[in-house]
Amino acid sequence: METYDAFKSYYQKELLSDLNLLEKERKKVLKQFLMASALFLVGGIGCLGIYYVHATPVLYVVPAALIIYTVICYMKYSKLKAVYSINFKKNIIRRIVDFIQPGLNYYPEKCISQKLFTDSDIFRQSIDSYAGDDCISGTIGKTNFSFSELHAQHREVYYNNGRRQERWVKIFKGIFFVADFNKHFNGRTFVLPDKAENFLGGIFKFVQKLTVGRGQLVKLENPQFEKEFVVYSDDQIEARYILSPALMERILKFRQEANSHILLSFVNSCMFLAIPIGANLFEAKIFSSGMKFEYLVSYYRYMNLAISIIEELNLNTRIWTKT
Amino acid sequence: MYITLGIVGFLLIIIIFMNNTLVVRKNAVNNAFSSIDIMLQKRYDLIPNLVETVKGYTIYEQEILTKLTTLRAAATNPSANMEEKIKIENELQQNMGKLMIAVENYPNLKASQNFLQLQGSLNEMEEQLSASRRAFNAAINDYNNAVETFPTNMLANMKQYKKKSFFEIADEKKQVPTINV
Repeated sequence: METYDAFKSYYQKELLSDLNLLEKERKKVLKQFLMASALFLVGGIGCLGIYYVHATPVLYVVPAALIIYTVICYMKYSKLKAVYSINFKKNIIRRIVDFIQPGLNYYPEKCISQKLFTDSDIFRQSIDSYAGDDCISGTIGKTNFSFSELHAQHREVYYNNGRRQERWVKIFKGIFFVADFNKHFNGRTFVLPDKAENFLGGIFKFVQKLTVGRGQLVKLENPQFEKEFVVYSDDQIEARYILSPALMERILKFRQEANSHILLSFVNSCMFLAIPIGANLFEAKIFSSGMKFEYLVSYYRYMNLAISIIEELNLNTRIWTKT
Repeated sequence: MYITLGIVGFLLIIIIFMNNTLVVRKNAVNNAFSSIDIMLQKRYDLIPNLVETVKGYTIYEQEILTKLTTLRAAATNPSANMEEKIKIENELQQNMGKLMIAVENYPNLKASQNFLQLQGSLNEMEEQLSASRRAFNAAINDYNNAVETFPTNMLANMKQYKKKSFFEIADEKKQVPTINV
């Protein structure tokens, strides 16, 4: 774990030169896009012009050809964009990960498996669309872990004036983290944001959907923790075995650092932690410079946050029967 | 006529709910208490193993080891009453503490696989015991809330349900074990 200042100097010493090269590539990609758009506009205006002037239909061939060429240019742009994104990720993001914690594996195109996501049992709606990227995995101390960006959605059917319509409802979008927990346990325990904290109706419904059928309510002794979270478990004693007073304090502290609601579950001797984040993280920008420090620092912040979970929650303390 | 029947019916339902709440919470307390007992038993079961492992490596700790074996036998004796059990438990805790300090003098023992595993089990047992005590206290809290708050306190009085006390660490246990050098 490195500090903000250390990252700034790393950025200046190590990353800037590669960023410069990538910037040139980005400009090419941008040019391609602009060219494709311009051609499309010209072709479109041409078509309209011919229509209004009532010229012979044969002349349509010219703008039509332009539009076909536009489509080809656009496809070329997509390909260039994909290559640029991968280069950006392999070059820059990979190095940010190495800077924060050397020795981890970074798979830009992989994500946490859907099975693992459903095993965590945090989100119970049926998934109709599941995607993700930027998977980082490895071992820190004695703890195996992995996390990635995920976007899971559910297709909802609703009726509007008798007409059947569909829309996509977000189940989860953000960082999803899995680690090997430092104690053995058998049942399931859930630590979810407390309903009472959320006045917004939308979150009310969202949390309510989460809380039905999760076992018994567990009332813990830490009043701050109880205000932030609501805990459900199959077994009152196991819940307290997992959530020791020390761990509760650490979870609270992490919640503050993440500056976002967090959801945890403890299932199959593993710990799952979901941090919902609205924006798409770790993506290579095309339309503005990808070089700015402020931009990279937001990558750094989320990456650091996820990797620091192990130390923050003290998962490397292995004084019980699980080694 | 129907209105009075309705009101009476409604009151009856409320009384049933209150009664059931009281009974459920009382039972939760008993359940939690017996869980503590179970955890204590499990911990006692680790002691013979501990004694055997330490015996193999040490020369000077015979006294503590014998004490632990005797205490364990006394603790698992079904005829011991509550007070005796608490006394035995406290003594056991103190002697375990003394033993762990004495073990510091035997680096071979500390490094042995057997001992490390045992230590892990003992730590886990302690953590589980702590969890069951916390669960017990939570059950007591819920029960006391029902017994003391209006309107269930009226029913509790009628049924002679009294407020119960939390699990507290006995004063002797709070003392740090002394090291005899």
